[in-house]
Amino acid sequence: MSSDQPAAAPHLTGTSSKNSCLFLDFLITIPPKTRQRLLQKPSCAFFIYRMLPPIAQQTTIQLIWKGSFPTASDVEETKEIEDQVKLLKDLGLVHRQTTDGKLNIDTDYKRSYMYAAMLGAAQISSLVLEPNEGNRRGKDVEKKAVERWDCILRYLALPSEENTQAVSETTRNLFKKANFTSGGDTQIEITTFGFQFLLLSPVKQMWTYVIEYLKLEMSQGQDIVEVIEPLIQIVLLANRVQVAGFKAERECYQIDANWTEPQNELLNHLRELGVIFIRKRKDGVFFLTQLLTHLATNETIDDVSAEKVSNGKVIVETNFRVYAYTSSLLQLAIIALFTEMTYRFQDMSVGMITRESVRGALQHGITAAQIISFLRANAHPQCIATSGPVNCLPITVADQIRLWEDERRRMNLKDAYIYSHFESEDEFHGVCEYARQQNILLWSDNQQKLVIVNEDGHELVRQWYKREKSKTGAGGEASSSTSSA
Amino acid sequence: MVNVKKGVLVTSDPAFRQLLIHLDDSRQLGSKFIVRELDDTHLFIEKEIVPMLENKVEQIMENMNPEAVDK
Repeated sequence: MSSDQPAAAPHLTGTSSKNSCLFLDFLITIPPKTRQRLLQKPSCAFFIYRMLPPIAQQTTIQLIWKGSFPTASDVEETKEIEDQVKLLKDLGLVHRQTTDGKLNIDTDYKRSYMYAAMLGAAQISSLVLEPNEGNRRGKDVEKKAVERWDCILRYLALPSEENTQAVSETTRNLFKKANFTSGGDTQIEITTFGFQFLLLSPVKQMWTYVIEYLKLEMSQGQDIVEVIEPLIQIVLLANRVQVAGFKAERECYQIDANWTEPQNELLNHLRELGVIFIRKRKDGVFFLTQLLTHLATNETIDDVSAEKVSNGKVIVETNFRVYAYTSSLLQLAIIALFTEMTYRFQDMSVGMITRESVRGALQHGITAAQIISFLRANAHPQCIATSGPVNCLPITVADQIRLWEDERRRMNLKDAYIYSHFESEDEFHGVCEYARQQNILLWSDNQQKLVIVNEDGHELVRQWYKREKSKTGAGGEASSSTSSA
Repeated sequence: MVNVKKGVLVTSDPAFRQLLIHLDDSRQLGSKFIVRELDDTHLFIEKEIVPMLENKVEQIMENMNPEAVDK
């Protein structure tokens, strides 16, 4: 019998998410009373519904209208439905009756959702639409919005004084608190988590930023419902952006005069993300941009490999050469995380995926799966047209990257102490059981009578021995005392 | 009295474990370093030898991956 307890590796927010939606993950973590106040708002209820996985949506609808939920036709389906019901319970949308175990929809949520469903997304967001006559209050909106977003990514990918000045102090604090950057104000360094952030899809990147911002606000004692509500009101407007022929400059929305200072602060950060655009505060209006669709997307992990990439710029050949048809320094910097760049022209650069460059990335905590999904997501349209969304990255390259990762996992070293030559069976089992309880046991074997504990565990075992010895001593004294008597 | 020894617990796949045993038998690191063979995936080794072992393993891996393509 042997047991091995590998240390749990920390995960970037959402990268191992079972629910596949960072916003729902965040909602599960906030206090139930706070969450209940969100459920009372129609816009929030509607948005939560949109972010739910399909089966959870069906379950919710049936509970609202019929008071029952779908029955499954087989065991596999039953399990999936149960998983979704658990998600709904964690979110506080449904409750199980203690008397008969029947599922009930939360009354606040039901009322809010039905109200929202009748009015529709645009009306429940309560934001006032205005035309932008003669582009007076904004032009080149989309271009400027993308520049804003690039500034944030550049701050992480290309640390420099200029790029540091381009982002707000709150963004810098946000990234530091999220552990994406480290070091003082003068010398910013990107961390393992920062590298991982850069390789996420834009949807996950933006939601990660927003959620870290909400966490920052919560840690400063801010009422989070006050901030989440306008966020959701704005994101619900993403439907307009998705209409064919949408022009950002053509229409804008009034900045609500009743919004409080924290709510206006949120607006500043959405502006910094590029999901909205504000020319001047005194204009009193904001514009929607294409980037807003990222916050409205319910992205699941399965969608990544099937994602329609209309703007990819990377070609990877079977000889491990990478061609990037872009002049963007930011994109090249990201590709350079795991590629050895060899030639650089104005709008095309060439690199090699080598064992050294990939292992360099692996040492920074980037995983093979992240590199592979990044290259697939950014593949050139012709690669996808020719080989499909998976094989646009040659299978030989993908497999080799995984093999290079496996190399690093072949040997795992842990400082430890080994105990052997126990005086008795009881002593061996005592040490073994105590070590297991204290979570310091790395390995043990009944046949060989061996126990291995981690480095910190040695002192604990010594203390255990001292206590055992004093017990034996007390027994001895008792015996001696009895003998005397 | 129970015996206590400080060292390093190595967890690896069986093939790699065999490589470590080979390094130990052939004394390629200058001395024997395996304190105890535990099971198919675990070894207990001396602590001082770890830096040399890591360099040696890196070297072996390097030799298995020649630079195949000219830049």
